Amino acid sequence: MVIDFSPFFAGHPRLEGLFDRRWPMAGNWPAQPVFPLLNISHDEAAIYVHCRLPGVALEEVELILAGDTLTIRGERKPVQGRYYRQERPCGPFQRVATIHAPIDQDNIKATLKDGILAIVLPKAAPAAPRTITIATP
Amino acid sequence: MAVNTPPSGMPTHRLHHDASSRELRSLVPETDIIEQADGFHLFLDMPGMDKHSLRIALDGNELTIVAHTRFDLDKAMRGGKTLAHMEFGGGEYRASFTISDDVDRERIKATVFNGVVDVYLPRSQRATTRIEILRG
Repeated sequence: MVIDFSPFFAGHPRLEGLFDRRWPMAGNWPAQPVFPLLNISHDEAAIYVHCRLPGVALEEVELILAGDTLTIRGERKPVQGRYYRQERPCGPFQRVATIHAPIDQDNIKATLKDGILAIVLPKAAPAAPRTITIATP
Repeated sequence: MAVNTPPSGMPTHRLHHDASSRELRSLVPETDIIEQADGFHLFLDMPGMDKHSLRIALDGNELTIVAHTRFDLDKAMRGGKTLAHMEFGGGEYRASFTISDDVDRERIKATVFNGVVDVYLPRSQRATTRIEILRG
């Protein structure tokens, strides 16, 4: 459902799982490869995407819905100074989610509050069922 | 200069769920410690946190930053919603740091922007003695 930037950026869940099983104590390398993190839920009316985007201003995020792919991309700019510790990811980011439902493109809503980007993708009204009459020859 | 006490490198999205209690899940915020001309800054990623629950306390040398998230997954699932994909959850952000005497404790300030807490630790004006290191 969720496709990431690149194999390096995304991290391989299976590969990580293998490392965790074989070397459980080796988990201290930078374990923050995926940014931003996503939660996706849905009901009959809409699909809801919540995205963890701390410290990113509204004008630094771009949301694109093309076909059935929703792309969240932008850039998190680093603070200048001498770093003694750096755990917060920075630089350009992109995540792609595939939406398996027709979306009412005119009523998409997105809000950014306290570092959480909430996107509501209303589902398009299903086409009314049509009865096809079978002509008799 | 600030030094963290808990083991670092703990990823935030690995939630530490304490099964024995019904307390909120504890989340360790990703932190940057940066020195700038005016002092030190701690930047802590705490998205979804409730500003009213933010507590910053200095006890001796120990600076503790705690906040609860307003964003909870139960809310996302309430009202007949089905969770299709989950990578993060809510809980309690908690971080603690040991502050050295290099910091002016009276002037510590914190600001919040888009789910990031910026704790400013100004350098104290106290005279310091530089110890000379001799070549062996």
